[in-house]
Amino acid sequence: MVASPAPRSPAGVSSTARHAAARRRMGWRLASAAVAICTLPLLTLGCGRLLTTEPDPGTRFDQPMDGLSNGELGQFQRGQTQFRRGFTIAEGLGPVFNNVSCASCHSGDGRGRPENILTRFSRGTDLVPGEGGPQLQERAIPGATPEVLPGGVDVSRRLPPPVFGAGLIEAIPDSVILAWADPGDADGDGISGHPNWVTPPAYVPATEPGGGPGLHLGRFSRKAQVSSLLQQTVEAYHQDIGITTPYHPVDNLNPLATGAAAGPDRAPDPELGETHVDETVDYLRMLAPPAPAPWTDARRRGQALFASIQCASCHRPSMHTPPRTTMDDRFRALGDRDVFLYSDLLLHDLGEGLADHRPDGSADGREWRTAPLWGLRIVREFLNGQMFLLHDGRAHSVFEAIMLHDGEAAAARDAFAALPPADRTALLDFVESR
Amino acid sequence: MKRPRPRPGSRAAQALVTTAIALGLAPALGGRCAAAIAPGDSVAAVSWRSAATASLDPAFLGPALGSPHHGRLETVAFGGHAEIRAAQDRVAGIENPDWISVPRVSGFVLWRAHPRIELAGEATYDRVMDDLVLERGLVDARIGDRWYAHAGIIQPPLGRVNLDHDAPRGDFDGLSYVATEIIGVPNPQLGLGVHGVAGRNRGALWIYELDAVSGYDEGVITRGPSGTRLPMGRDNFGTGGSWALASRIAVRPADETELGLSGLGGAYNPLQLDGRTVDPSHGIGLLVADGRGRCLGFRLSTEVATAWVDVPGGLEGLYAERQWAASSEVARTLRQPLLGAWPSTALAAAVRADAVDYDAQIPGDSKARISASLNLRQVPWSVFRSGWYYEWRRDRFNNVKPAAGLVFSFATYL
Repeated sequence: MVASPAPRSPAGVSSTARHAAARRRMGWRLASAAVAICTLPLLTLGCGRLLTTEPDPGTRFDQPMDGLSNGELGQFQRGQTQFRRGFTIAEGLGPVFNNVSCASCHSGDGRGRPENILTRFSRGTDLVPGEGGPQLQERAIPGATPEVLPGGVDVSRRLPPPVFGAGLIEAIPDSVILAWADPGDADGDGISGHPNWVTPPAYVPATEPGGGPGLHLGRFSRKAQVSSLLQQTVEAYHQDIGITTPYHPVDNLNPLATGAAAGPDRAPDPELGETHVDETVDYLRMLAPPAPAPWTDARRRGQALFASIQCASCHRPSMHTPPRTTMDDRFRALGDRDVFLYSDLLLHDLGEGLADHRPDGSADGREWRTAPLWGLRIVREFLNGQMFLLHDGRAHSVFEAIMLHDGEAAAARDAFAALPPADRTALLDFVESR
Repeated sequence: MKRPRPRPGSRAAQALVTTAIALGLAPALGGRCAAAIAPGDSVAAVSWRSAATASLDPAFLGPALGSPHHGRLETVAFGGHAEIRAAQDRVAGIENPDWISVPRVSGFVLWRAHPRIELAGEATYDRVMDDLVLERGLVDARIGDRWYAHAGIIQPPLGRVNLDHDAPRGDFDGLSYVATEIIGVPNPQLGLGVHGVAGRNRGALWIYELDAVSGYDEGVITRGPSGTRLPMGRDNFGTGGSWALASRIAVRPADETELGLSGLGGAYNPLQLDGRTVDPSHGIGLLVADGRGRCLGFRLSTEVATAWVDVPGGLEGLYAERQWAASSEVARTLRQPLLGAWPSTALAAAVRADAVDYDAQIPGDSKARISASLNLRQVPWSVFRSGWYYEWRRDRFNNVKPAAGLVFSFATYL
């Protein structure tokens, strides 16, 4: 059978040829559409930066310590969720409070800014709970009355401190810290660090580090007036956010408010369960300090100068946690680690200029716990390029902070000021690389 | 005997149909709308409602009333739309394990009870609201040739996006920050009012709407974990007890050009607990400007919104008293028809830039985002999108955290 010829168009092109051309055109169009659709995803997948990249763990404050088990990492993640959780009024925020979450004061788990500064007040050693002490809550939910500072009280304004490395600080044995104490300045170097012995609240059990009856070594907060991480966390929930917990189940009220001081906070107490509190505490325990910057010749020279002019007499470069075998199962991951915090965790007189004249435990109005220097390398990255140092953030650089030291640190300050400019630069570079 | 030669493009069409069926979206292809319409921006033109009221410009019809329908009885039309999203979302390099989601599923019904009276209802699951909401439940009565009165659960006329936010219409898988972060789209509210058109006799067409609506409630401040958030205080069903006035006026000098200005003013109601007023009512205001047009083959649209919130004493400084957001989109149809057998198939590209400042009184607490999307529409009311976005999130310390995502989505009227 002979096929009949294909019909031809008036122009002489067969319909078969036209169909073939149409198919080719269609093929090209589909191919171009497919290429267009796929280009964006391929480009994106091919270039990781287009989908963001994970920062180097050593450049953040919110990373877990290495060597954690999967279970501990899970607990860390749950704790991070709690730490970042912003509380609403419906969930129990207030009635009086300072901020809505842990993370809203501790920028990236680092220190806060002057806008987040907390005001603590007392009359001597009397924490004046009847007047709203020991902390001013200047904010209140609708219907409640914010606190105002009573007249004639001792006031201390304190920047929220960094929270990373808290577990390591907690794990350092008392004996290691006390080995640096020299309350009577027996060695005659003009530096007389002494511990702040404090009594933790009854809700901190003896199974918790720094807990149980009797006096314990204070190691947290600006005047080392807190011995337990659990206490620090519970009090921050209670005082800063107005959140009740099983440990502290009664709302923090403004005692000077008229009418129903609780106002509209009708969230049932406790507003946060024990499990969530524990998650937050464990999160703080497992937060790793950031890694210091690589060594350079200048930094090594700065390190030597740091020691030689006696900065290191208070800012002790490192301590060590106990062997894992001697530690409770819960804290074993923290064992046998070098802790490069650059602090002796003791109280020192820093002079009149920095004094808040407000005693706290056995710390007097001129004494402060030696501030750890770890994390200074990246502190600006979490404060919008700025730096706020010392207890109230008044120093905007390490240089300013050094020059504001006095009291026991006066000699070191003067020695620093007397250094040649190149040495000063090297020392500052070293400190800012920690 | 030779088999009939397939028409050009039918294999490709089969492939697309197969893909659509495989996705369980066959109903999209069963729509009854005409095929020869432009993608994206003129879906309403083929709706049952606008066909029935052809003498009126469809611009002032709400999306439920102006949506393509799947089924139709004598006086009842019904349909819906759905969206599925698969994405690799990352925040500072950390991947979100929830890679697939259904952002939106909606079903609506419209009953013409009388030549002048229609009843419309729409129920929606919206992932942003994380709830099944009655998005519309209203009576719309034609009072005159060019104006209507409506009452019930309505969409307050806050910007064009709130009136026109069905998932298949958009060039992107998510709505703009103006819509999601300030207005809180979808934002159904209890209300009543009038809407209509005026003008156009060779001149501009004016579109207006004025409603009394339930507005926002104390959730604006009590339910936002990070400060003032208007979407957390949408008073969808008037339980808050306060009313607000919402209105929009828009001018359309040409068919594809529109400029609109809308606003809402009222109070977020007094905070009451156990029947006791613990805080008096506070004012809230919202102003939205929107515009769209076409230039050199590009479809342009922009929307800007700003909000004022009277924050109760004791919360100032932490809760924002002023917020704003802005969004601009540029889109262009790259090829239409893509498939000869289906003249409405189209490939389009779109770029969007948007930003929101949750607290205009401090440097941080804001977000900015750029998005790009390539869209394939085999029919105007059904779209497959392939997109990417990059976002800069700033916390209240003004620290930046980047977020980005590679997104595939499919949205269609059902």
